[in-house]
Amino acid sequence: MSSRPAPTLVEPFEAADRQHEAMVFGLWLFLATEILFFGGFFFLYAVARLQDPTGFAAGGHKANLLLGTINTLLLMSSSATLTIAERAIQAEWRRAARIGIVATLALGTAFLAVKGFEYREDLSEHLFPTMPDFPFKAVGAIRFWSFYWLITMIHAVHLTIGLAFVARLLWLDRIGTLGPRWMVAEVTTLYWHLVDIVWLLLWPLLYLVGR
Amino acid sequence: MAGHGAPDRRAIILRPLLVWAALFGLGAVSLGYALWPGAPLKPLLSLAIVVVQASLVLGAYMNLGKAGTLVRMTALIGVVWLSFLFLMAFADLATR
Repeated sequence: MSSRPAPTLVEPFEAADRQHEAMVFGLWLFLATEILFFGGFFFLYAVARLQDPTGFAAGGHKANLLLGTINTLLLMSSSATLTIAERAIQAEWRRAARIGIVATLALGTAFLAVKGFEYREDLSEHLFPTMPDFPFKAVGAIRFWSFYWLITMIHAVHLTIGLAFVARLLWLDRIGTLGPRWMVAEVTTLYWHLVDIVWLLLWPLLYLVGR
Repeated sequence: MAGHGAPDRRAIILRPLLVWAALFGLGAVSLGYALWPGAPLKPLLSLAIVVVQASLVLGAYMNLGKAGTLVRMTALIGVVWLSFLFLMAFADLATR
């Protein structure tokens, strides 16, 4: 095993171990708040589904399974490429790190593009609850589509923020400071994985319901 | 965590790809079961698979198992408070 590159220390840290523990702890503290944030929405989903399971399933049946599944594969793959990049940074394997970061950016951007196509298709089928031609009358279906738009948009915002942080890694690589800043890559990766986990949960909740 | 060495090059590529394959396989099972007409307990099975997938990501990608006590406690606290939220909110809903 090779050792990690000597990290860039920032105030107030005088030791790499302390800085590392503080950064990872701080990020996990943030992720814990994110778990609670998304948890509230999942509770909303559970209540809506329990109160009108038939209407909810009817609404869910109209969700685009193909595009939702493609996006799941894209995000799943992006987690793997970013993990490879993060570990390559720590091993000072710059080429693999760069390829991993670029692949993650491409996969994340592709996710947003597919989501955009999906939104366009949903709107062409009037699947927005306030549209006059919304095809459902059941409360469950209305709630399903309200939840769908709300949670997928919130997730997309999280993913966009993640993309900005991953792009920053590419910039750090470009200016040659990514190796010593492997801790930044580690916390960026942790955030990205949470966004991935949220989608892994959303996929069955949004696209497999009513099948 | 701090003090650990960096993994070798073969492991850097192979381990994440193995986890990716496992996540993909589990997703395929979830999809296949969901599309199986009349299969029982579809929501429960898909959620159980998500729990396994999330555990894989947490353990293999996010290194939660190798993390220090402070980090593991923090992650656990998020889940514990979430379970309280669900418990109390459902209790309120069920007793109305």
